[in-house]
Amino acid sequence: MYILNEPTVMMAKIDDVAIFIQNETFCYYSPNSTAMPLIEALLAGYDAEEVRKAALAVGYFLGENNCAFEQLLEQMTAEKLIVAAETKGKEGMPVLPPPADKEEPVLFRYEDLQDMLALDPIYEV
Amino acid sequence: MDFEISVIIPFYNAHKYIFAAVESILSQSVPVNEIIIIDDASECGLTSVKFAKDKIKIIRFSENKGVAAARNEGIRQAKGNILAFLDADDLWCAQKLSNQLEILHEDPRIEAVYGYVKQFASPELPLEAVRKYCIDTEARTGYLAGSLLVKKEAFLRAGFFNEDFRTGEFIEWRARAIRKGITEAVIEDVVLLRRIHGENLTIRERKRMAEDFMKMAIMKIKERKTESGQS
Repeated sequence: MYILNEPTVMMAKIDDVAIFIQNETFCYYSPNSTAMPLIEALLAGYDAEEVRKAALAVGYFLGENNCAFEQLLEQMTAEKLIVAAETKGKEGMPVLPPPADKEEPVLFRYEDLQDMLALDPIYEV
Repeated sequence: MDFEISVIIPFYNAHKYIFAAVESILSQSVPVNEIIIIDDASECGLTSVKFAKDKIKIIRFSENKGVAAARNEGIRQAKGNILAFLDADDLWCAQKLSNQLEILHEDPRIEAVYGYVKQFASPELPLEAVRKYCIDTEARTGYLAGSLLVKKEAFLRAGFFNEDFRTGEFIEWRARAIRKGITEAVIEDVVLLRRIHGENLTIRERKRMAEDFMKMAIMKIKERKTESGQS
């Protein structure tokens, strides 16, 4: 099971756009519409393998080799947006909404506000 | 083009620091034409304070309106064709204006010039607080109002500061300025020294900063999606 790496990472969803802010690297991230439900299911406590199965079951495109979800997970752990938790998560498969489009899940990384965040940190130190 | 410089200082309860801020403007190698201080309804008014120079104008709000509104009032009052800003607790480096004006002289297409910013702990700040705030003292590109020198006509093309933002108003303005095609340059000199004293708006209002930052970042994400034709 994975949880958000709080308080280092902040997450918000406004007008259907999700954003993660990494307050150590001062980067921010936004998932595309395919990635978002998968991330939400992960953060709701479902096992990663169950999320992947649920995604395939309802027709999410997970890349040519079905590896896009693992890559997304790898990216999120490497960038310390999420961390593995000791506690046991939810049982079974999550119920995912039908895929919004045929794109594979992608998490976009942005660095254009790094200087601003370094000068004005937005989390309590 | 002859440059006439108006400097705008939003002021709120920063009596301890205002003289140093004004001095850092007056000691520039290039003289400014006017300094407009907007007292944003400080608890103890600034109007009674006597500054030695008559080029300093003080305007007092009857109620606190925030830094964006204070700067906007200063812009409306400004007579110069070049605008610069300084927060009441910060300091300009001695060569700020001359180095930035040189860029405007050299290339008339440039409309806005930024520079590097360094932060420092205010001398009265206890060591414990200095540690707590983990002050980043590296020189960084400072897309901040205090590091900007801008042609007034260009500034107004982007529009006034959005007064809905109590923090983060400058980043929002700069995003608009870029969209309006305002040409900017950054000089690799430290032009602004930013004082950390624990009462900084960005420290006091960190929750609001986070909210404003989220709004702004999401605005940028949406713009990128529109540009790339994503849903």
